[in-house]
Amino acid sequence: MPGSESREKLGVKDAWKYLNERFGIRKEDIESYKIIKKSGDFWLTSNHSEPDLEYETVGIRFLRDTGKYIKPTTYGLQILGGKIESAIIEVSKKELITLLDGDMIERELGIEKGYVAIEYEGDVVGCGLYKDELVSSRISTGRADELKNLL
Amino acid sequence: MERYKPIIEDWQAFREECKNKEAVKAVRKNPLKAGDNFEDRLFDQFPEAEKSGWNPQVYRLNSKESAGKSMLHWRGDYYVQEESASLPVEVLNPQPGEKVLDMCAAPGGKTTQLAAKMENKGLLISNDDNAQRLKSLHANIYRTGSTVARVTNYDGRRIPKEQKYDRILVDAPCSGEGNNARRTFESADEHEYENLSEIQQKLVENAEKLLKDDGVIVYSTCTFAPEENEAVVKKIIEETDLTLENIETDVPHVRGVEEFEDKDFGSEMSKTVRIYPHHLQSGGMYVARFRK
Repeated sequence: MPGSESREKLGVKDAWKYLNERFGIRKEDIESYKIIKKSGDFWLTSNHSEPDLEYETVGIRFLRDTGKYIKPTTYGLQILGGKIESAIIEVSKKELITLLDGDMIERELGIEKGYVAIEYEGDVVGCGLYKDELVSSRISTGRADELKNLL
Repeated sequence: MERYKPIIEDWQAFREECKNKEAVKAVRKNPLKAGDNFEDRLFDQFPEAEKSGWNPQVYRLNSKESAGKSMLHWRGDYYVQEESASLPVEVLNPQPGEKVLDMCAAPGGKTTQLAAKMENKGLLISNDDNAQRLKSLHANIYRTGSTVARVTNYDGRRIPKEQKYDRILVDAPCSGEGNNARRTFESADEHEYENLSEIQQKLVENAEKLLKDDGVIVYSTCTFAPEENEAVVKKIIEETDLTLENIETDVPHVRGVEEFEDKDFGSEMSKTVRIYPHHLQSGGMYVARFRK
């Protein structure tokens, strides 16, 4: 799976590389942002130095380092939105409900297994996992329940 | 609320609005997330919606449907916010690239508005001293894609002073009469005013120390009490180097009061702004702007 290098070696450069190779994001697409690593995860924030304060969070957590691989967050993929050029699947309402119910949908994407952006009605709504020509949702349970109630 | 009869000119309208009506639900467009077709989508969901007359980012929904239960809300395309509550950030007017401090940021309505006006560029410190309220602050920052926001958990009176800011919002903890009026139509008690006004003053005093020369502080509350509004502003201009600036705005409002009961606040208070519930069928709000 892309981004499955060992944990110790994962740095900000690996995060950029993953975004580019998996989702086709170019650095210039998000040049007003910077990526920092904090508490083991990657955060997207504005391109500005931090004053010396004790922070609870800096920007938005958008890539998690699970130890085995890099996993994008639903919020992170929503921000990247229209800039995502690959590993993106468009789903119908019925398919989205299936995913949010915890079931899988079939898709032949012709890409390596790994995380994908789920798009519904032109908007990226969150993160999914593509494996063995099946897609499952990785949208957090709470957010998935909220979304299901709106469909 | 009867104590405010002498300072609220249109008392009847004020009383009727508070007692008989629900506030008009309003949402603020979040340009960090909302696409070009935002209005079409909004009007699709809320056909009676209309643009606010003074803030083009705000829409009054005119609907009984919950604004918090829509796909647009889930995605962070809008933020549910009382129309009057969007004034302090409009008055602060932060620019992309600036260093901005939101001293009392939770639950995040004004911080996400700051991030939007800053186009996620620059530095936004979103501070709140209440650790429990940080959860909702984080949730709103994430949902709206406000990546410029860095969250801290200091007592606003003791934020370290190494960093200086271009603009600071002190949306101070207050007795909340502007929102409570629709529920109880009762004013807060004297001790509450006393305690809160002391905290409010100290917050602005620390903000002054954190502000760059020529920087701007906006002080706001959602209460009617002059003890927490004009009295605090009067002390600030007497005891600090801050000067009070006139607020020019198209929002329906009245000017700050120059006297109340036996207290005299001075003619400068006419530079500040009061919004009453009947002005916008919204909550109450008080706003003052200082420059260093």
